[in-house]
Amino acid sequence: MALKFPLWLRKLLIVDDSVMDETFTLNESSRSSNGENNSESSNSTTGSFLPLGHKGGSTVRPRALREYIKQSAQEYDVSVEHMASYDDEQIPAHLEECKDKLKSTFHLDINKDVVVREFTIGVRRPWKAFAVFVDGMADKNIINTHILQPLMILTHIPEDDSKKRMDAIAERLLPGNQVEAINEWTDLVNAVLAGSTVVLVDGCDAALTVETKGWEHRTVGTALTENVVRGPHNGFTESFRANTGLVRSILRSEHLVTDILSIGKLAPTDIGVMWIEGLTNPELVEEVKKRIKAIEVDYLPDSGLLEQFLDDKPNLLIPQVFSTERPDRIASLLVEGHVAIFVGNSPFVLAVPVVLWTMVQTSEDAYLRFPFGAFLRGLRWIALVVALLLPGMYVAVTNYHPEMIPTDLMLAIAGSREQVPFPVVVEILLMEFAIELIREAGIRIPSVIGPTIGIVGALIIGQAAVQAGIVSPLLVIVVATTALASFTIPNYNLSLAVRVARFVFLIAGAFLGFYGIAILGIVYLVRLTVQKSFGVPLLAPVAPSMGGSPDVLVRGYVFQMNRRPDYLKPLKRWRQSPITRPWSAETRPVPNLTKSNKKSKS
Amino acid sequence: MKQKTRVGTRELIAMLTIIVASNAFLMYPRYVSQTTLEAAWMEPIISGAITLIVFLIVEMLLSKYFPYMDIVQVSQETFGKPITMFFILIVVGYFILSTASVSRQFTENVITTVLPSTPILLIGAVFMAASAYIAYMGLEGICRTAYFVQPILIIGILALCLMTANWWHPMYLFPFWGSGPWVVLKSSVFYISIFNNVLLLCVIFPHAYHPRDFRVIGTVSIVVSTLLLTAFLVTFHMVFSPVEAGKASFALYQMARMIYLGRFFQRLESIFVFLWVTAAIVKMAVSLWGAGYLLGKAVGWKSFRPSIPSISLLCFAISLWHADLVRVITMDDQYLMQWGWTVVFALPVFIILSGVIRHHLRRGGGGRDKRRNKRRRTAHA
Amino acid sequence: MLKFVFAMIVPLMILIYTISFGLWMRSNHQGFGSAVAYVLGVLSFSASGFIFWRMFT
Repeated sequence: MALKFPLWLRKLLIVDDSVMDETFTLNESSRSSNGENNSESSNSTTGSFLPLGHKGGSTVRPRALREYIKQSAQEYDVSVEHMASYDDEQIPAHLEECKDKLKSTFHLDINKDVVVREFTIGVRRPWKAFAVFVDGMADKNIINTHILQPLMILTHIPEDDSKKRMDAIAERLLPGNQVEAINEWTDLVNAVLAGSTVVLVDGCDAALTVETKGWEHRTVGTALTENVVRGPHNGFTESFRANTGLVRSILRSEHLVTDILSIGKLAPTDIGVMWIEGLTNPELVEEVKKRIKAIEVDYLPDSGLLEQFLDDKPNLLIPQVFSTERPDRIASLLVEGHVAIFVGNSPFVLAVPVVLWTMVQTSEDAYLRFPFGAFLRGLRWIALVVALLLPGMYVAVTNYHPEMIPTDLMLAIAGSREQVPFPVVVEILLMEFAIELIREAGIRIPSVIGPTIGIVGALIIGQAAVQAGIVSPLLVIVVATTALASFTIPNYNLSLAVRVARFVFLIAGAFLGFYGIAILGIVYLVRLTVQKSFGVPLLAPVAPSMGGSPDVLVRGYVFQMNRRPDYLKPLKRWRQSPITRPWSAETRPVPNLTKSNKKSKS
Repeated sequence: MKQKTRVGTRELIAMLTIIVASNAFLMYPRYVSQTTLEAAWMEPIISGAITLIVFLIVEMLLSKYFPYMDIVQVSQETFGKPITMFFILIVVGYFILSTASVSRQFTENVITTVLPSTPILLIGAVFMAASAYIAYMGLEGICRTAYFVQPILIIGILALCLMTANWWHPMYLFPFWGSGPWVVLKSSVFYISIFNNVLLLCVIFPHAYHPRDFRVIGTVSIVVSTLLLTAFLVTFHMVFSPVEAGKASFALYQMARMIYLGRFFQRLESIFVFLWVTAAIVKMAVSLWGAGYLLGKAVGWKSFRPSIPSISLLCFAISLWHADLVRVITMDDQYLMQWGWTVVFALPVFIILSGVIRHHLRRGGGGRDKRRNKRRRTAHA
Repeated sequence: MLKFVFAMIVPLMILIYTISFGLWMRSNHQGFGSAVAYVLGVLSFSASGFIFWRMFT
């Protein structure tokens, strides 16, 4: 009689075969170890991307670094070569051959995403054909109504000559908006992977790609990280074409050009390089393209990664590539003479080169009237300094320079710290750690319970820590102000840099007081002054001082911003006429000079 | 060497202003107060005026006879390599000693004002390391940083002057001539070495973006720094009596301590740490850079940068050579300050004048030199 | 003594750096330049050694 023990009890009492069970461990694949032997046969048929020289578990001998890197690069090149074993091959004319090739290219026997729909064209004299597309990426409605229906039901091909058959289909039978004939197998593969539908007809050594992109993506919504009150609210979304279109819809110029490159040997990602021809410095465009083309990776998922490949100095805290979610920002940067880089379906678009000042500006500064724009920008600069230095200054003042605080305030600080057992540095590090936790948790927490936890974190921890005598109330104010100030920095990368640098300044202040902060500040300043972003000094146009419109710490009046920044060396220096308000004597640059005067002079 | 560094006009002005005006935080106020008592404020004016005249002459000669050449090249053409080497070693030695002296004075200032219980070794090492780092970054970095520091310096000095207004005693400035016009004049010539821009300008000459702006750079920097020094000294002498001023080892600190603008704004000396630490670092970085650059030029190094750590270590060691500050001050006063003018003024003027005389002699003798000059000019055009 | 040894770590590193600078100059066929570099390195090392010895022993 079988006793009905619970499972856990049975495991405690009874010994059986299960003691021999092992969990799965990932080992070197057997395919890789004998890959060397049958690589030739397998590569040509299945498109395997195992490198020729790859040997599993071979003994490792010490090698020179140079040699190692050279060999690794070679190994990578070989593996890449084998990934695309169909390079430079033509599309076969026979349908059966095509099918076999498709099968090996897309691994159709194990891959269920790629759909091959076979059909016959016409009724009276049917021709065999098939359509290939990736399920989920192509729009099924378009395929049904604009490809299959006209080809299968409504038509027949009068052309007997197989060479001309394709033209007839493209011209008369396929009502898709973008139809293109291709001959290369690589183009076919890329088209299918990009969401198009490829139609192959028996007897033709060409194929037709019909644009049917229709995968699901977020619609254009509000910019999540860079909100403004005044100005457009839309932001980029996870669609390459939607993003380029957003910029184009704002900046309707025939001189705005987009060059599309592709990165990724395993899975290509489209990289759109956008600039204004005849305005942007061609050398800059060349440099951007050169750096992008040099990248050899399997896969590039996001603009954040491209940014890291493009950086001039990767270990510097301050970002050297500007990333934004706002189409209007990109448009205005393009008009200044920057180059924009769109990366696949990333909702963040890059712009290069960047100077530090740009990262503290928002588009709203320009949309608001002068006094308010200037005020907001000034406020943001103060906030940046506060976010960077306040904790360090607080530690320095309380530790080394108490005499500079008025006696009453000093007594208040001393009184509030009376019950606190830690030194100020420990106290402030504890609080900063708590704030950083709240910030990080605020992003990761499921949005349903987010607000609750935020309140719990902010209120309870602060209140309880003070009441428990772990931190002084004044310090909570300091830390909270710092956190608040750091949220005003509009560029996420820069705000991260400030967040990290704050701790360095805190430590400098704790060890050497104002002296340490001053030394660290000037050393970092020097580092920044010699740093370049795509050949432009990071602190231009202040140091080195260069011309251009007043648009650094405080922005000027809009009718003063006549010139593009000089540091970009644009082909066109002026972006507006120096006389934009000829009717206003007050704001005319030179009294008694009107536009008609100027014209008659020239 | 790699692509030649080019520095803009404004940055050069800022750098030169800082290295002269930062003497206000050093022993200069003490020295001049000791020698000329109430008339100390006249000294920077007279020194500045002399400097300006010398500079204009030097600039005229340089641009007329040796366009696009720095002082090393002029000396090499005039005296040949070995003697140039000797001259340069003197200048390098001067730069190293003055860096050491400035470093020691500022280190002592830090200890007396803000960090009394921190070991001097740590403070000095941090100071020197920061300066070395900046010098290593090159002239571009130094000048651009100077451009950021300049407004802080100017606003700081002026603010300091105005914020002590409630302690001003204009009567302290009389008798007008202090210890006598002759003494004032003599002392001004002795302490003229604080205006070491003439020497630096001769070195930096080829690095300017627009060598044509050179006259502007020199003139503006000399005038601005003279005004700042004078303003500071006038205020200093209105707040403290000359005898007190002659005993102050750190005038700026003494002044900043006096600030009392009601109960909230008082004892702001710590705030001024940012002002003088940044200015001091720029000043030291410039002289470190000068030492490395000139040495490199003289011995033909491809890059002077790798010598910076060694030179700064040497400066650091020399700065701590004397254990007590009083001896350092005495040495600084007696040798560097009072005889500095021979290196800072006499040497460049001597080299350039010899060059000009040789130029004239050659031109009398034959056209070879002329042709060479012409070729050089076209090469630079 | 231990303090002295600790303090000499940085000068020693600078000495090594300067000597490798001299070697680099020599490989570029600049005998005089490399000699000056050696002298500079040794000078600064010994000067700092003297100062630290006086301070810590």
